[in-house]
Amino acid sequence: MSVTTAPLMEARDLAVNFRARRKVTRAVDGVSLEWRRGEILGVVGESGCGKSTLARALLGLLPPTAGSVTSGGAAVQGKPALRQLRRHVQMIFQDPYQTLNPRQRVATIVAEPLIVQGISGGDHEARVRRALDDVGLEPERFLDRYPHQLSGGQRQRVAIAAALVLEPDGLICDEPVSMLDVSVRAQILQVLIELRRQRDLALLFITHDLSLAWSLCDRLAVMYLGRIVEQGPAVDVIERPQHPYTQALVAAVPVPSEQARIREPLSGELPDATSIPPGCRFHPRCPRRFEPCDRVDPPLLATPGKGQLAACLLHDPELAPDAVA
Amino acid sequence: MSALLEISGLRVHHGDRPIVDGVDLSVQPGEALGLAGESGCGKTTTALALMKLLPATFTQSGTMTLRPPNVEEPINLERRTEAGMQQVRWRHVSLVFQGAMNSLDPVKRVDHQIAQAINLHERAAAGDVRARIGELLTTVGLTPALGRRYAHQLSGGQRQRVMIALALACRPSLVIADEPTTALDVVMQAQILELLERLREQLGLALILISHDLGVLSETCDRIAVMYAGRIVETGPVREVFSAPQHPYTKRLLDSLPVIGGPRTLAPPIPGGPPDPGDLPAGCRFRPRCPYAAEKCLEDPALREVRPAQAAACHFAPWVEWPPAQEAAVEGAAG
Amino acid sequence: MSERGVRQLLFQTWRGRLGLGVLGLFIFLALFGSLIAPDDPDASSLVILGGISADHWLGTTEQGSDVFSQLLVGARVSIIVGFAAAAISALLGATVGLIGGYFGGWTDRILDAFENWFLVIPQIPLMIVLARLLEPSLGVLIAVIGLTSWAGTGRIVRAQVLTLRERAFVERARALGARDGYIIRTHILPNTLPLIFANTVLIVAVAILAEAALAFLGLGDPTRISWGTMLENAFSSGAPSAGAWWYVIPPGLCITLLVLSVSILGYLFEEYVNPRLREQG
Repeated sequence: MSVTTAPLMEARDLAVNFRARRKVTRAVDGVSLEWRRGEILGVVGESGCGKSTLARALLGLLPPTAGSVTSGGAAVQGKPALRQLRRHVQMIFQDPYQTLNPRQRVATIVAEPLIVQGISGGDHEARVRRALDDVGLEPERFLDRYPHQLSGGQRQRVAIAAALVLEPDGLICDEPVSMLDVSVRAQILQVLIELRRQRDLALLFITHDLSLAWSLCDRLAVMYLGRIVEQGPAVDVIERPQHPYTQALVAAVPVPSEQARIREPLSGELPDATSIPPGCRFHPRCPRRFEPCDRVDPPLLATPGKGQLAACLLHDPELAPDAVA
Repeated sequence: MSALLEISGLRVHHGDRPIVDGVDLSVQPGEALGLAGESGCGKTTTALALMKLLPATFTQSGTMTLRPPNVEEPINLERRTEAGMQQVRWRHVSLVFQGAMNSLDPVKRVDHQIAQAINLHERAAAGDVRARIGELLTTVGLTPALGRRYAHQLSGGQRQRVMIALALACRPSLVIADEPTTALDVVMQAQILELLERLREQLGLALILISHDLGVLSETCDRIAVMYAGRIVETGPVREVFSAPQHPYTKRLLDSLPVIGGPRTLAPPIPGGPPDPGDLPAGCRFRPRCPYAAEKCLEDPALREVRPAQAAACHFAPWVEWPPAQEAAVEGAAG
Repeated sequence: MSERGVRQLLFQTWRGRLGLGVLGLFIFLALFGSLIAPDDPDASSLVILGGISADHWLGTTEQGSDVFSQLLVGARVSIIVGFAAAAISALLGATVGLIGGYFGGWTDRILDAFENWFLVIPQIPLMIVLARLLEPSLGVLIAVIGLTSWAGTGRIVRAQVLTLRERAFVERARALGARDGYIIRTHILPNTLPLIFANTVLIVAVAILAEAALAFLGLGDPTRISWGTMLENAFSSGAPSAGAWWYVIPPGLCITLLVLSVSILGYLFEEYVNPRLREQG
């Protein structure tokens, strides 16, 4: 796995707001993120935390309200830049039953990127076949099929093949396996891992499944209400979480292990993104909040973990000099 | 102690396709039984068959006996007519459907819907019904004021709690919950599971929890039954089944689950997919995908006790150690 | 719609066979009616409102023309007007629905207002006014009927496009950098066609009835014989009170049968399209 210095994509203070009848939803509220070449970056959080919005903003499907998105150093803005970006970064979506046009055959679906990007037609068929092979679908059997003749796992494989045919450097995966059965899930993940291994493909893996993030990701970013509240090497973030929210998430994961686990699930629910709490946005639900938490909005601060940052005042050496997070 | 629910030889056919093919299950009063399996294995059909809610295109056979605590005679569900079933449903057994939180009536307030459930089964004064609704909502961790809201004004987690409140409306002794946490994220899931646990303690409720998520089942259930292609392939206490599975399917399923703190490699997935009910393999149904398949497996294995309280449908059980797997050559390995 | 599915629906259900059969018969008449008619439908004779006889199977009109021949020839107008008006309606409705639904914003609002206007206007009075203002001819008739029935299609198409626009495969295409025209052509339109088709078939029925109504009110093309004009002539010449039921009932019956057959087919397609939509949706 090669990790070169120039990141594949980078977001700086990215904000994406939605306006609907006087209410502003701050879906992404100041996110700075680096997605390195060849790495599997996980983005984890509850539904409504803004991870899907972030993914779409990175790909230019949603315009940023503030901040910037760059790829290979150049800003991703304006039609030509976006078009360029999309040759290098592709996306796969959550629902395999919605992700394919029911009226198109597999061959057409997988060839579509080549057509849209205006790549000459000479070797379309060869590239389509190669893409199908790469995802484990025998071209002979699948080229002529329609989506309704495919299972959920097969549909997702077709979607991945379509994403691969342009030979991108990175793949944004928005919950690609959460709607699939357990054994099919494992098959799809194996495909993605193989691709990473063979072509140094970078993955931005969005999921709410921490166990999956544990086994798959190199680095992890935890999102809460439009912000990244913790980031760092995946293993460290999950084994030694430095932010109370991450700690609660990890504690909430059910584990089919031998000992019965003591549970104290996090109370309450994710607040509406139209009314974000003042100060630290997690403070109303935080079991470890203390005096400054409802006034001061913590940036990502250094923690004892190497390369691990958490947006929690417990790590602020001035406000909480003695705290052990 | 006689079982609260005893299902024997349950078979459900859709035309000539066997969806459920000889299932035996029992649930003790106050016990939580997990029914695990992937989509298409027949677990939801089993629940619907139990409640006799399957459409007319399905035929079912087998006995289903219910012995609720405050009832003299055991209730033979298979013999009940529709009218007879209406007396049983909700009063003794209730069901939280899969995706139920999306099936609340969008144009009625929540309390109205709960009241409806109560009034359908009991004659109670309006004041009592109101009190009961408040009690139910509190029991599931919601403030009674939320009863005045409509479904779209509640979050996914809240709606799921309302569905559970609905299921408890007539104080049944058994609740069947079909994938109660599937559409919820980890935190909400933990809350709902904790709620179910609390309800079991407080109300002495027996629970059949259906899920494809083994982690969820391990948290809440006492015993677990694993289903594959319409049959039960393993049963036993949850801890035992998960620490020492006795059927290759269970083992492979457990292996394919990533576990925090465990190894960071993903085990090779089970190749292929479950068989089509119209085209079942001869002998053991898992044979085409089983890494340990042998000649003997062309003979249908019976579900038998292989360890204390643990039963498996595999000729080679009990398994003390799992030998290295020879990957089965499977047609159509892309699932 | 898969070809196999449609064929099965049409040929293996009794409704499909009935609808196809009756419609097929009338289309045949529209094409060859004038060839097989025993008499020249315009030819007059001295047998005024004559009853059923060997020479005149359905009797004669007030001008002594053969009712049966008129009936056979009248099919042509109904079919032509029905299908042509429905085609115009489909084209207009689909275009407006597609553009408004896909682009949204002010485009949609303006088109929507435009559509609402047409929806709200009472059809028959508008048709009467327009037919009055313009010289009556088949073309005008077709235009008028088309203009007053497109709005319904437009509504349905717009609703469908709104859902399609949000589907993952459209988003995927956008993520590739596909342009609007491409997306509409490749993704939106093909998934809307079944709906448009089903709806249009029903509009054919409406158009046939509308033509009959207008003709009955004296606003049809006077140079052409249609069932509607037959009814108009019959009533204005006092055929009902003269007891000439063979003049009054057959055209009405034919209109009913044709409309019925088209409706059966239309509902068949709609039924087919809808569960598919639910499945895909």
